[in-house]
Amino acid sequence: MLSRLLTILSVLTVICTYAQKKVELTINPTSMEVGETFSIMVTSTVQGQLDFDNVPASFIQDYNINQGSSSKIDYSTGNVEMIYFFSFTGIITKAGKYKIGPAYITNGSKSYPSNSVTIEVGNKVPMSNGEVSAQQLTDPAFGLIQANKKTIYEGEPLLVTAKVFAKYNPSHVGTYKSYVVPGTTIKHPIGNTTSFKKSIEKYKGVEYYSFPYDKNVIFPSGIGKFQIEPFTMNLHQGYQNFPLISNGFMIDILPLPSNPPADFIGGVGDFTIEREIDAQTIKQGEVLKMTITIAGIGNLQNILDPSLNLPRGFTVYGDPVITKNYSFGMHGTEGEIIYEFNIEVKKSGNISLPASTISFFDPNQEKYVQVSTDEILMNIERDKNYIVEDPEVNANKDTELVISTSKIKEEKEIVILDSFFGTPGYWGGIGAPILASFFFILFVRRKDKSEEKVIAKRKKAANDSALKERLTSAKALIDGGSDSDYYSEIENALRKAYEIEMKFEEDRRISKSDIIAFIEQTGDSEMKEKVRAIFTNCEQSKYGFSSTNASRHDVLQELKKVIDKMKHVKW
Amino acid sequence: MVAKYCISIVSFLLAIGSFASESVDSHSEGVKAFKAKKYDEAIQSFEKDLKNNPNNVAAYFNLGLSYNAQKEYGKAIWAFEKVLKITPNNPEAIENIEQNYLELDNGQEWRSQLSHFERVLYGMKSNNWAYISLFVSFLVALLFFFFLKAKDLSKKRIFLVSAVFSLSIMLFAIYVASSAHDYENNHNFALVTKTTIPTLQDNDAVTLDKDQIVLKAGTRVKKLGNHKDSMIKIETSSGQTYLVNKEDVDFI
Repeated sequence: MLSRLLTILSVLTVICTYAQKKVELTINPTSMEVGETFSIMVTSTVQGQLDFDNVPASFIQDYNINQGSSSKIDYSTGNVEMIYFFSFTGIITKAGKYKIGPAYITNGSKSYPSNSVTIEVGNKVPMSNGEVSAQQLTDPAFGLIQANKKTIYEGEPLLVTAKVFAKYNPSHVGTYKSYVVPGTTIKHPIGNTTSFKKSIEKYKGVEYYSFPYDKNVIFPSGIGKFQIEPFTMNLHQGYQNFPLISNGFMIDILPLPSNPPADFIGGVGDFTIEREIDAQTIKQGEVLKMTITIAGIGNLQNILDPSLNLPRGFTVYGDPVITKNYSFGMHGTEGEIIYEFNIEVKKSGNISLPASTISFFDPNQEKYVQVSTDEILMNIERDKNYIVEDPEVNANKDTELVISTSKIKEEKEIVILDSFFGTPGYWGGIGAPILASFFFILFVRRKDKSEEKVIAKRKKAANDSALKERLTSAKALIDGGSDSDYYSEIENALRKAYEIEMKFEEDRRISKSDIIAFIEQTGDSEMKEKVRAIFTNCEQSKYGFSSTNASRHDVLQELKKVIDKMKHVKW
Repeated sequence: MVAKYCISIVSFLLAIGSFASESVDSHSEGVKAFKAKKYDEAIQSFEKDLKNNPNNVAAYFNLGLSYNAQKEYGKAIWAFEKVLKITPNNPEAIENIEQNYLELDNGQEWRSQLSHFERVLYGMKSNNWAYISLFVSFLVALLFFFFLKAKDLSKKRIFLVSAVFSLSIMLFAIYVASSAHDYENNHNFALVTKTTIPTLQDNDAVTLDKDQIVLKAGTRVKKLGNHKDSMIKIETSSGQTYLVNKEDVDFI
């Protein structure tokens, strides 16, 4: 399974590699002066016809186009790739900035475009000539050193070229030894330093074949007067040659003015600064990416890193990532250097990042010039969980920028602080309804109780009256009533008395067993016997033998005694 | 007689008018000076305004900004603390206080006197809580009344539950009103606004503390009581007590 996948991936990689038809346009140099020869090269991984877009009208191409091919091995894949190339040279006769390309390689019906390249063509730089002796003028050929300036400031670029004059038409240069600038080891060649383009030029009234050779921009070090040591060469005309030695060239290197600004980056020339951040709103503790671009022309390759001038709470992590996009031209190093800083933001709030500034020395104005970026307003959201550990405890606060976190409040905001709380009115206001509700509850409960009492009283009175009525009725039946009626009344009176005593409220008549059970609960055995005797007597008299008046009186008396013994029954 | 009364009334009204216009001017003058980056003038104007309107929270806020601009971070913290005293739930003031402590960079850091919850509650002011509790007390009484009057058992239950719930809200509102009132009227806390202040010894002659202890700007202290002369006894947040000159601290 894995091997299959690997095979598929390999095939896809190979297909993709072959599918990428690369066409690349390179121009060297990209910065030149009017009439200076430069080369154009187009390389391609596909063979075909060459065509161009955006060729300046002032471009004059040399006669022939070189073309060929070479193979290149990709050692990581082992693939062999064919590279086809076209190269030719030419000049531009008008100063300006030109975009050349894209170039197209057409193979059959398909056309593959290249990149385009921008070149800058400047006006001819006026050159100062070195000295030529009378003897040299009599020679078949002589050379002199030319430079764009005789006096420069320390760090300022110097354009130097070897100029050759010949009374004969030279064919090529042999055994060339370049001029030497004291204290300078690195020369930056401008244009094609090994080929030469001859022209007819008058020097002190005499016409010569002349050509510039070995043009370089150099950055002399040290201050004072120095001599550029002469160059030597054998100037050929076919097999014949003439060995010539040029004269030297005196240059005066001036020191930069004293007391440079604190933000001087060592630049001599003309520079600009730009600054960008990847986000203006971030959270406290997050890392911000700040990009500072220093662009311009001069000794750009030798400048120091800019100081960031960050407010406290902003900590730079690590060294900046530096990207150098510059080339060496007739006026020095031209292009830009991009610095990418990673900055941890420890503060929160609306923070104004102060402008980043740099100073450089402008040799034309002969003074230090400061350029700066704009301020950037950042909104850093507060993170409550972020613990601030400020490492810049000993930072010099005087150099810090004042950070405004809030906007001024233009309108008054008067807050009334007098509180109603705690005043007698407040407690009265709180207490009154609560007390009112409390009293209302008491009132309602009292009212309910009194109503219950009245009902109970009425009920008791009714019960007492009913009992009294039964006893009176029984009394009335002693003499004239039948046994059944009389003893029934006695029984009813007894039941009624116990209904009151027991608060019996069921929807049935109270039974003898209910009464006996109640008396048993009270534990009054005497009462139990008495009540049982009354019931037995009544039952015997109702259904048995007839009773006498005396026995009727006795039963009534017994009943009265029982009722009297009850606490709650009054009659 | 009538003319005399009229003159008195007119004079009184003029006095009120001039007083009002002066205070308006002080604030707007302060704003103008701040915008012109004349921070000294702005501080003077806002302080003048606060004499007339001690509860002008905007003036305290602007005063804080002005002190911050002058890099007087201790004073700025004090001004923003005053803003918090009046409006406890003011996130901008909190942010500025934290910012100024960071600027002070002397090891002090801001510890909130209130929790976030308290901040929100006290932000409503004790007065509002007092009125809420008052309203709820009436509601409680009303619900109890309905509860007693209701014949239906389910209604009775609803009224009773509502009444108990309202009662608990009322008690909560009273508690918060009381705490907020205490917070608003507690002026025992102070702040060290100078870079450092000396602590003193309790001798007949006022001398520096024998250990030469100094309190740094931004130190929050609690006044425990007055001592003799202009000395006061204070307690720091770490619980240590010292004697300091009353003029060396600014009360919040």
